[in-house]
Amino acid sequence: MKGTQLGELEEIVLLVVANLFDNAYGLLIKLEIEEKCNRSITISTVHNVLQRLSEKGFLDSRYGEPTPERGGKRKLLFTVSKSGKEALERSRDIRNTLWNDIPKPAFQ
Amino acid sequence: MSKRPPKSITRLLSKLCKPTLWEAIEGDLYELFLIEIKKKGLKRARRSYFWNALAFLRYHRLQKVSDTKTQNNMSLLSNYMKVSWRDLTRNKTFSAINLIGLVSGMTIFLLIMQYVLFENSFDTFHKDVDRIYRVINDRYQNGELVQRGMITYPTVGKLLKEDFPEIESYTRMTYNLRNYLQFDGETHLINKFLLADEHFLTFFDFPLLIGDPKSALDGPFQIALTESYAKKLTKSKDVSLLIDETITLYGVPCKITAIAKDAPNNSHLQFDLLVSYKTFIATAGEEADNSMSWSDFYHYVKLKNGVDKKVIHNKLAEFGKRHFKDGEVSGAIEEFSFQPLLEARMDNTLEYEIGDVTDGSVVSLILVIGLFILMIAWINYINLTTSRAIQRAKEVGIRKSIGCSKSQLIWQFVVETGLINGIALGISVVLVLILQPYFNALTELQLGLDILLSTSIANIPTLLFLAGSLILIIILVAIHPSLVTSRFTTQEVLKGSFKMKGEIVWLRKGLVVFQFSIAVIFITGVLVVNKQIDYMVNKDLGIDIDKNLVIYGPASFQFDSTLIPTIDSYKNELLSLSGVDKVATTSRVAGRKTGRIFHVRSLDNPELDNLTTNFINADHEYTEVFGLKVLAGRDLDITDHNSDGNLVRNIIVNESAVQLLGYRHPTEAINTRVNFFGKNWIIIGVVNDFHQRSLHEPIEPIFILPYYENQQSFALKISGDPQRLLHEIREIFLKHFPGNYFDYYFLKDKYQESYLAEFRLADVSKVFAFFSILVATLGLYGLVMITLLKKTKEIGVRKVLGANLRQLLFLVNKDFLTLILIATLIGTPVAFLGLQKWKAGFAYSTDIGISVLIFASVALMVICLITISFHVGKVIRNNPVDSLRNE
Repeated sequence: MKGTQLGELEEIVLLVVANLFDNAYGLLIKLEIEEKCNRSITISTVHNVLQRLSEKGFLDSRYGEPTPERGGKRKLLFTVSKSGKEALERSRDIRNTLWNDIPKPAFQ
Repeated sequence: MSKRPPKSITRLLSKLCKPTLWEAIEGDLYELFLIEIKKKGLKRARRSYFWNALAFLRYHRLQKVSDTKTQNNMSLLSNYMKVSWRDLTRNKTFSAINLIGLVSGMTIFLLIMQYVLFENSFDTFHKDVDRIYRVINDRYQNGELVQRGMITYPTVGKLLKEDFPEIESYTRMTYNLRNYLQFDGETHLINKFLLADEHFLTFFDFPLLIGDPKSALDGPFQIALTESYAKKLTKSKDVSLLIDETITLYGVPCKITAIAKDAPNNSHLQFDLLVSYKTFIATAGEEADNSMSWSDFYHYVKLKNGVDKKVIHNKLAEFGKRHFKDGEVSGAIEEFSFQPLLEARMDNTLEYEIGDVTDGSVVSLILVIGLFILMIAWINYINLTTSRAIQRAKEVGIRKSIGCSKSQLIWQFVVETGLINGIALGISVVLVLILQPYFNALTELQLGLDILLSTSIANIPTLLFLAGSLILIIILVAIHPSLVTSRFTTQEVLKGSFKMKGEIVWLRKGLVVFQFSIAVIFITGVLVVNKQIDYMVNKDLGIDIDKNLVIYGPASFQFDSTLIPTIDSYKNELLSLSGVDKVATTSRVAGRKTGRIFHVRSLDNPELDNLTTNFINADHEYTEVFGLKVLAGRDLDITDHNSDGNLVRNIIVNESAVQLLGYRHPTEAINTRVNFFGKNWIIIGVVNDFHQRSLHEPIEPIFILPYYENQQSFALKISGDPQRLLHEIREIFLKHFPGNYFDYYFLKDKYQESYLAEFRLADVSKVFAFFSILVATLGLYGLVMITLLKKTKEIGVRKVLGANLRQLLFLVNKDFLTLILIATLIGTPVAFLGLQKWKAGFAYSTDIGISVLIFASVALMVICLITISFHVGKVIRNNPVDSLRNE
């Protein structure tokens, strides 16, 4: 069913948001992905994915307090929603099932 | 630089992004910017900010909900195209009329444009073209301008450079037409060579393939060949082998020091080879370097960067006075001026021109005519589309009733106009490609569409300029019909009760008048140009050039006491051939410009001093060969010649010279004396005035001096078959002048070459006139068709009531013929004034004549009458029952 599946990048972003609990906002997510996943990603792409996930209902967002290092602009903070958590779990389950079903000789 | 990110991109994004997200995005971008400053520095951080921000535009999701209107317009565009295409194919007659007009106009315009651009590109390849000027020398005697020419004294360049610190450099040259050189035991013809000083190659941008521009022409007896001439000498072998080889010119050995690239086609200076100016000084004497009275030399000067031309112009008046002392030095008051090099090509009014020049006003005229034909075609489009607006009205009414806005209606017409213009342009380009070889043959130029790519108009690349103009015109042309149609209200249209507003009808009439005024002008132009050509070709010139074969004289033949006997024996042997009736030798065969003497003094009327006259060297048979009549005194005879030039005393003159010397009748001039060339002469005879040159030039006073020169041409009056004779003449020539180059021409052909520009104009104007009439009458035909559609019923009723054919024809024709009549009334005076101006370029011209003007108008009326009646006839012959039933 379209809308409940997670793309690869969507999954990573969702996981990073969960990792950064309560301080997950655009730029930090970008930096975190670049550091942990060792890949480069533009800030605009991050925002796009965040928006897509919000539309699917996997993320909740709220504006935080203004901070001086951002020129007085507030951060848009994201948290993983209940259905987001379910989607992540579903995704992990599928993988686990697939991993477990690999016959041993396949990777020898 | 402040530590702030680029503002413009931020502002753009703020307008496009979803307002709910914008604050977060702006904050993130700014924070990232601060991090990057630390890592990469401000400059790169700003650049990176720009790209990061720009990347947001990729994502639709982050932007405001997009405007539905623009999406709608995009899909409308394809609808516009579809509707336009249907309309074009449904109304084949109108589309064909429009297409034929536009294709004719665009094809002609594209060809003309190539020519005009080429003419305007002359000499632009010189890097310093904006700073280079030609020196013009005006001469005044007794308060009158006697010569405005390119030639001046060899000292002028040097003096200018000394007097004016504003002048960076100058170059001095003179030229020679038709000369010969010996190389490797063979004699070769040189069409034109320049004797150019050591500055020439660095002054201009004529690049050398081999050789050093600084030293190639800096010593006597040095020669630079052009590449193509060098190939001719070596018969296409390696031209670099020619360097340091010797060729013989003027009977003196000269060394080849350089090979130059051929002068580009758009150079007004053309040459086969360059000979160092010092060669000329060495052979012609120091006079060629320091004379203040020998004027055969050309100068170009280059001003320093940033010098205002006006400043130097004001000082030039003083310069002439200072060095030439009001006529004491050279016999005339000398004035100098500078002509920008860029203007050189378009000015053919200067005497003793060194370059290839043309009449600039003809170039502009041709461009204007091309534009007019295009305008006629576009007017057709406007008129036909406006008139058909009624047919389109139903479509427009329905569009409006389902909510089509006025701007959308306008767009519909713009797209439609663009489509038909685009199709026409495509066909025209193909046609131009097909016609190009014929066009090049007509203009004798190597033209092509690629010139549109390599030039610019008003500093905008030509192609861009033309494309922009076309789009602008398409919009202009489309606006009128679209406004007309969109003005009808929906109810009017759908009820079918609407009429053309008065102003629209007036505009249409005005445009028709304009089209046909132009057609009248073109027809009149063609008639007058041809009348003038007829006049020029058939006018009695006072000199007989028929059946006259001219043999070029021997080039390498020294002037000494054997010259006259050799020439006489050559002449006698020619006369012994059957078919050769008379032979004379002269320095200036008819058609060639004569030399001038500026300091003629009459000994019998001492107050007549410093007179200017032309002179011709000729032998005593000159008047006979050319059929000149002796009006008083006697003709020259053999006793007037002397191999010692100092002993020659007797001259004959023409009638104009008699007047110049203050005599009323030729007989009064006989045995009077004049002084020039430092000695006294006696006038022994007077001949009639004759046209030494084309009818562009006035007849001037001429003195005929009984001199033999080496190199002068032989004019043969022949009655036999020229081809058979030529063979025999050649053998006799080579027997008397061994080692020389034999060449000839027929005088009448050569003489008429001076009318080449007019012949060409006649050809071109016929084409122009044909197409302007074709396009205009096609438009008229279309208009008549539309009018009749509306009048079918009226005609039917009239027929039922008993109107005859004549009355019906009159009914339809009268409106249109009134317009054509008005057009002739406007066009004729304009044509008359324009042609008067054109005729001013001829010293002798035929009257335009009222009959030509009337004929042009009547011809146009007849053409229009036929066009209209052609269609009207069909409608009128219809059975009225059909037209009346057609409800």
